[in-house]
Amino acid sequence: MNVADHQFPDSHHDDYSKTTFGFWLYLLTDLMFFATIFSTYAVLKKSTFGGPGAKDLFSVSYAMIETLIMLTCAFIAGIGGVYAHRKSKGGTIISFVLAFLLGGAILGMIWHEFSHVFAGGYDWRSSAYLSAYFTLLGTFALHLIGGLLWTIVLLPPLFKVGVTSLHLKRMSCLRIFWQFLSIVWVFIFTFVYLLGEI
Amino acid sequence: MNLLGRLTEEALKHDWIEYGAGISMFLGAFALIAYVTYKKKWTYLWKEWFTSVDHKKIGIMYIFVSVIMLVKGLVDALMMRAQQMIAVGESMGYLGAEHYQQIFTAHGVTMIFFVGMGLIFGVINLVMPLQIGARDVAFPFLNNLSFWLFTAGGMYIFVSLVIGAFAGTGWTSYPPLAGLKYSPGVGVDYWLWSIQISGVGSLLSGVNFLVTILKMRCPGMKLMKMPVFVWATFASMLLVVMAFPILTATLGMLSTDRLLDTKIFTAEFGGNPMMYINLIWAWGHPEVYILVLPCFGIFSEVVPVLSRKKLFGYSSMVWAIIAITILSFIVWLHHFFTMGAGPNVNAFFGIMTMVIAVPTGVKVFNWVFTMYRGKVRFTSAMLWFIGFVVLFVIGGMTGVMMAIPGIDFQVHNSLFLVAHFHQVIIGGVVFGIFAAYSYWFPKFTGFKLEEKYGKAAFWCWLIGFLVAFMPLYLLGFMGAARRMNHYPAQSGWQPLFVVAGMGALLILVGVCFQALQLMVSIKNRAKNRDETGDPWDGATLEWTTTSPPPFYNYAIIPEVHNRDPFWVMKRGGKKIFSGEYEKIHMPSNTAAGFNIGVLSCIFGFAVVWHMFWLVALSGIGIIAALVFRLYEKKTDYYVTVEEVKAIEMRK
Amino acid sequence: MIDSHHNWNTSFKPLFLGFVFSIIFMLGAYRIIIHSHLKYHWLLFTVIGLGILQIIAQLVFFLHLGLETKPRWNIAMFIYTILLVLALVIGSLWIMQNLNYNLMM
Repeated sequence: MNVADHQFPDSHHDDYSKTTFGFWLYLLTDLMFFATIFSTYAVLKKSTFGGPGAKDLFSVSYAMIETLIMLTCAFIAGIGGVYAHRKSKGGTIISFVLAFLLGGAILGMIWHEFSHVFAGGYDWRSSAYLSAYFTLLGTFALHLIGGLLWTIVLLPPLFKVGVTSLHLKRMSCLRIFWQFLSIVWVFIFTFVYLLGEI
Repeated sequence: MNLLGRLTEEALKHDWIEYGAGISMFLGAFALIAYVTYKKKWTYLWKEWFTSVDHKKIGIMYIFVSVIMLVKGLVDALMMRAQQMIAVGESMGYLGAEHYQQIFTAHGVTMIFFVGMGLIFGVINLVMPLQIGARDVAFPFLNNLSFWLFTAGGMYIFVSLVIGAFAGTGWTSYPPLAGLKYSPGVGVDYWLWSIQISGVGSLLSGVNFLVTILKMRCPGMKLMKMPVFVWATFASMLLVVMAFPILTATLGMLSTDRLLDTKIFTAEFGGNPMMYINLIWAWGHPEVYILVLPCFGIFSEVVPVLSRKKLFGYSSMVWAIIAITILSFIVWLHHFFTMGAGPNVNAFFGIMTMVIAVPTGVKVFNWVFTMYRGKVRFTSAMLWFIGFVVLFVIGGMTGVMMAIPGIDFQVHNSLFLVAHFHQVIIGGVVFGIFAAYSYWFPKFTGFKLEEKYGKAAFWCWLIGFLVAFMPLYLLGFMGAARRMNHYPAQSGWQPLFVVAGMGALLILVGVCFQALQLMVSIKNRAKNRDETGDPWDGATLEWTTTSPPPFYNYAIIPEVHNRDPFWVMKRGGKKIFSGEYEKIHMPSNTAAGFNIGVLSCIFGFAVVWHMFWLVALSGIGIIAALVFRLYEKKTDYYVTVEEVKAIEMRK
Repeated sequence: MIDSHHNWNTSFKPLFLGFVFSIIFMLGAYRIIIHSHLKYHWLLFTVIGLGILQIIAQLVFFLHLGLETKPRWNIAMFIYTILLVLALVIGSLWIMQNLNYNLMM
């Protein structure tokens, strides 16, 4: 396997490890970002201002399906990462296209849940609780959109050129991103939906 | 849809003082632009500086912008001091309440974000990669981007002088006052975007510098062999990466409260404004350590070299830095002891706050022990250190006082508090930067600074500071609250305010000496050239290069075996450089950082004024710029062996 | 985690393992919430515990956390983050609840 990384800037450490570590570090900052929003959600959980709370609005089974899809997305992205390390262009592209579709599906499901809240006559302005809910899920949705856009940007050059060290580096970062989102989703599933029931 | 959103000609109406400020700003900008045009330097500036990914150039640009922001911040301070001297009893002074509020808000934002952070990132950029034997930071493009995001954020401070107004909420902008209901205007929105945009830059720099330190140290430089400045930078960046996301999320939620009418920090609908205060200080406390830790690192470089004696207690210095880093994340409630938490919560955070003074004290003792029995040279860098000890120790003590909730209840948000934080920030951060400036100036410019102006500046700053802020401790005890633009005659406070005002003027004299120093030094640069690259008999790797270093820093990557490797080498120890020249892989310049900076500035402005078509356009532009950068093929190049040889021979 | 020197990068097996473990933990938590009649605090701990287990499974089997050769910066940074996340979340909840008490909320 020829992962000929640039020796830039002659630091005796390869580019791949530097970039993936930097990206991991960035994701850890994202974790803290989500933690802040989670803390706010936790503090405002009971502030429904007479309106509906988690138990009234959400279905745990629905969230289970979302969780399953997100898990599959992370799994498939992992498969894509393995194909990339094996320099298999076809396997990589198909995997990340599938991950794209699954990510899109969750986005759709989140939107559907939002519509359900709107249909009840409520939105993010109705109470502090709902503001916190929409902020948390909305932030997650924005991250999903980011992943989808990023996939669209990364796949064409990969298709043209094949898995070079540059593309291995980038697809690895995208793969890690999907897997990070799956972990954040487990937090959301647990604290918003599961614990929302009790 | 209105193309201009909520921007109308009302936004251009100001009072006479604001018109004056706006005009002088335009004149200043115009003079600068005219000068550059006259010298025909735009292409040069673009090619060699604005699009540069060289950490040394980026560092200098950070310092340049920060100094401009410092002038603005000082003007704010002088305006406030002047108001305070005269606005007593029947006289309301010359500044109305609304204007005064914007001034103290802008003063705080400018000084913390655009002077403090800018200067810190400037010095780290310049010095850290050289000290670890690297040729650049881990992500040079991101470094350039961070600088332009920083500058873009700073623009709003100036734009708001002319179009609209700035926030009048204090630099931490608490809701509900900062919320939609009580501040429906544009001021808080300017505040939000100036901090959010520059905050992204800071976060990226945090990641960048961390990866650099962890992955790009030269061979042999294990962690416990790094210069203490690098440890301090490492710690500060560890704080940046964990604290700034809290700021981004919190301000993001304040933004949705204002833009989308969410009810997170509102007084109604179940919102909780106290959560904002909790979160903003969970960021805010680490922030002040982000500012001061690198300055502790600066002193750890300056004091040993200028005492010609190795640093006392390297290990305890490192452990103290680590202790401060961890502790700084569990003290934040001391900023709001009076908000109504119970005694056990207040006690916990009070005790933690006092504990954090201990490792700081360890560091001060270690520096002083370094000087003891050393051959101390009292150049201006050393004077700044001594001034730091005087000021920071006093300021630290007042901090420990306020760590006791019972005392804090008396002095919270009084001028006692104001005196404390100015003392530690000026004594710690500002004096540290000035020491760095005196110490490293020759390395990056090639010539030394004229010492006598530096010494004059120091004495003006030290005495000026004491005269300007000691009265404030007394005023605080006497009941004077912060952010007051007028006070009653029977308080008896005016004499102290007048004294304080004189101190501020003395500081201004000190700043003039610094400006003079720079001008005279530039004029005399041929005479004061640093021929050896090592004007102070330095201990660390940066002093092995020429002054200024070649763009690739090191023709041959050094290999170290000890702390203070250059001292070791000079005293007959192991060589640092061995081997043949090889071709050097360098990153290419790029306009992407500048473009994204400009687009971000437009984006924020568009959000502030609700010009949503422009928000969409500039947002898409930012994404497009990023995509172009991703698709860019010419991102790096090689310097051939012949070119390296030629540059090295010219030494 | 993303260290190019260990062979989980080119193997599908860890991914399948991680997938299966996650499903088990997820279904377990779901069942407990929907069907069981545990007391509130037991529910809380079990569900959170299963969530943590699922996250660990994904961290190890998907993200290969902890598998790199020394120096282990990936996991060090992760632990640092988690500690501070806990400080923020627990600290904030403690403080805000304390404030609520004094407001008699």
